[in-house]
Amino acid sequence: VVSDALNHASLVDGCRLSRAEVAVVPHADVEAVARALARGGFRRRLVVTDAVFSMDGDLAPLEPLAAVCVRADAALLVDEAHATGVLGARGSGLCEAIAVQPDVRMGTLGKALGGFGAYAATSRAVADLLVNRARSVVFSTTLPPALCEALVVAIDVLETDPELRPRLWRNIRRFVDGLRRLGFAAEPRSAILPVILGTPERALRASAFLRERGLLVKPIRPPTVPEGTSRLRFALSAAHTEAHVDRALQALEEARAHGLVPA
Amino acid sequence: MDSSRHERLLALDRAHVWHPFTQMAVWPSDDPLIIERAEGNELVDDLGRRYLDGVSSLWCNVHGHRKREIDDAIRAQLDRVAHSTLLGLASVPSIELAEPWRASPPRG
Repeated sequence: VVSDALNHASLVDGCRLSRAEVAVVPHADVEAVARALARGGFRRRLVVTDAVFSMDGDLAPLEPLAAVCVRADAALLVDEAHATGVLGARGSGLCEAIAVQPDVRMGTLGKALGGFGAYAATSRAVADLLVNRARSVVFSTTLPPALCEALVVAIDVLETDPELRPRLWRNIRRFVDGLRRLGFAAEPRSAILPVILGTPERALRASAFLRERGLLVKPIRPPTVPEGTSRLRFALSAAHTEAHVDRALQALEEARAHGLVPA
Repeated sequence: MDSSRHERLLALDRAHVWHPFTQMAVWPSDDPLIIERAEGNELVDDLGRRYLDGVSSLWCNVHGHRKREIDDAIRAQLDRVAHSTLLGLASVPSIELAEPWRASPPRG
């Protein structure tokens, strides 16, 4: 299994449970993936990546990754955890947005869909393998009926409310434009928008400052993120209004005026 | 009784649902019960037939189904909040459940 260094802990655990040999490659490094796949002696190879990375909000380089996998005859697994309901014309995720079809497309029912549980969309052969060999599936008593009903409705809403994703993306673009005006590097790639401040103390002080102004924005520090990249992690939703977004930007500007975030 | 609905649900289940702890090799030829609701210690299937839930839905419903005290408590909580994270936040019911006297077994 070839796994991106910034893959979520659940993917790391999945790699461990597979009992396969795991090669961790530097984040979003397609060349490193190709080199790892070039090593001989394996019957089957699987490349595993998040679609949207949870602490940076950046996207996996899926097109070149998929091409590398095809060339090396390796399988590709994409976890759409932070992309379901956010990316793609129908909201099914990054694979839809850039028209890449991996061998396994999985995701959670616990983020944009608001319940819990997960899915893996894959071939019959892989599905058969999972239901027969994945102990976490085989020995689960699965989802309760009330939750299934909630998820049926959530998927209906996702498919039928034409305003949800445009509203989310208006919020994302508004926030990114504002961050850039304040001098922060920001890209409208996903609903996760980190503001990197450096030291843990800086992130803690900025978080406390925002909290005094009615904004609960959690500071993310090592070991969750590398040393020197402590950050505020903003996450936008379709439920935010333009006024909410502006208020967050206003508070960040005040924090900067107080010397709490770099100018 | 709606047998055409029953047949449709059965066909969908056979085509799309994997049942854990279940011998799926014989499932398609089996005549599975499709549970739609429950009352007390009885399950009621989609055709209106009633069954004693002797294994308490795999020991997950030992108080019976639709127990008024439990359902009322769930509804009341639903009207407050269905979910909030414990990552960096606390919640009232999680604190109450964790109180030592609740979590420790009763003295014999």
